[in-house]
Amino acid sequence: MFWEIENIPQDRIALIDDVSGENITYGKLKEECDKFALRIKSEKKRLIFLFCDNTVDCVIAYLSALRSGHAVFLVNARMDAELKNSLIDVYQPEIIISIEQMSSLSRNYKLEETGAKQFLYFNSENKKEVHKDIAVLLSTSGTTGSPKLVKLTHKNIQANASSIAEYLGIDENEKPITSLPMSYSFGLSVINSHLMKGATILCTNKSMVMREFWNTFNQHKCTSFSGVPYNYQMLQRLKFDKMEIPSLKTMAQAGGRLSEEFIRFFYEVAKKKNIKFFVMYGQTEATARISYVPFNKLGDKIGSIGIPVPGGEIKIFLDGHEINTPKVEGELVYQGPNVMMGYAETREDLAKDDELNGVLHTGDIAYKDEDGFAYITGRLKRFIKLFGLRVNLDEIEKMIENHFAFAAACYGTDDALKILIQSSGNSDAEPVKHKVIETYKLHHSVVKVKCVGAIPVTSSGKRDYKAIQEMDI
Amino acid sequence: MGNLEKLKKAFSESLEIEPETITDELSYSSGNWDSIAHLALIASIETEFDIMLASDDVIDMSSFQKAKEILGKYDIKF
Repeated sequence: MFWEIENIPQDRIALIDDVSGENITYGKLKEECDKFALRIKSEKKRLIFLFCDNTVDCVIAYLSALRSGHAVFLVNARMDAELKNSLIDVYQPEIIISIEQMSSLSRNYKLEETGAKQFLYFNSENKKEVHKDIAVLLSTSGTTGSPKLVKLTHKNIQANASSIAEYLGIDENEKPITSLPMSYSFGLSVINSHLMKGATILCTNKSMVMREFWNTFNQHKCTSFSGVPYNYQMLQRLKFDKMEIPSLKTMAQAGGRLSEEFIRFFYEVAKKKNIKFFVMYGQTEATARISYVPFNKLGDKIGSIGIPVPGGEIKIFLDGHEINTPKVEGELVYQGPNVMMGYAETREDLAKDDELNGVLHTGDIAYKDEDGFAYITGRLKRFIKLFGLRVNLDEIEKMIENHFAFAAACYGTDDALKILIQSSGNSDAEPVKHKVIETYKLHHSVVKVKCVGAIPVTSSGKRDYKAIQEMDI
Repeated sequence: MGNLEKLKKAFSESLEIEPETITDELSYSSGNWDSIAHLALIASIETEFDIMLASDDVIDMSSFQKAKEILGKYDIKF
């Protein structure tokens, strides 16, 4: 198991802290994990909330939680205090680990006084059951207020890390940089799959849009980075083809559809510079990764999400039956050891058994070509992915209709959310936009709102999303 | 509109902050200035001044003060 770091040669460097420049060997990492494990020691399995960023300390806390057999929910430390507290209310973790002091916690939580770098809070009142198989909990939603969590087992995270390490060809000489938050399934998968192989991870919170990130990357001779479509759009704007990054050997993309034009651009640059470029697909519900395009096949398979990761299977289902004819569309169903146990929406859900049995209905409509490469053509449910985070369009419509007195219709692509509201006054657009941005923490440039006299409906009275999209705002 | 007002307008629109709150010290990762807002800011500056920023300038634009310095290279005076 990748968290059994004692299996890696102890003098290899596991983590580098980009701020202090400190190198942590696998031996030292084990020592630090053992020390931390004493602080969270308990007879019974506990639920831990880890409010984290990409620092060495957070990786240590995460690994210690796994090694101690607790269940750990990774949450971005940048989430606002109100949302953090509402998640704490719903799940009542026994232990909270935070990089900064928590505000307005319930009185049941007692701060451990140690003077160590992280703040630990314990709630001794609560001792509810957590299923023995749960290792990690992650949030799936871009609509961050939603308390719906994905339950992942030890087997899930180990299996996915192992598949990823295999198809990316990770070995101990790799040195990835943490370009995505570790609270995000894709970001976490980078850490897991590299620890497994005894590689060295450069821990940073720096952003790819700032020079410091690239200085750090070059200074430490990092070998890979991972990004969502938005990161790649930005890299193209930065003239990636002209950037000097001599140590870069691998780059990976997932977290939503990157347009074919961009894939082609990066494919050409990667080929010229001898970089392996992996276009991949996945869901948090499958721990992270479901499929990938082998880098040497990308030229012929632009637009495809690729083939299943080692150990997994992709099937196309239509009306309850599997389809084996190429180019026929149906729902993409993934089967593999990395499929979650199920969702949790309450603390009680954490005690439930596996509800999926290794089969995940992704909600994506897809077909396979003659070579078995899958292509996604649409979605069953109405979701878009903004900057790698899933946004439920129906939920946003409901929110607007509940909050304002008019009908709303949302549609969009992976880089823009568009909203029509049924209102004669143009002055209604701004308050709606403001409310949506505020509620879902979106940047205003990705949200467009337009007032229309009537939202198109079909003959049966349902919203006609085809006609709505054709109105393109 | 003077250049300073134009630049403040670009910042206030893309970072969604009041122009009055913009100081030279305003810097990346403070307030709303994250990677998504950064790209919006770059686009907005380019439109406002009708220029095309070089990649080096895009990743160096880490504060309001720095933005003024960088725009100096494009013959925009403050």
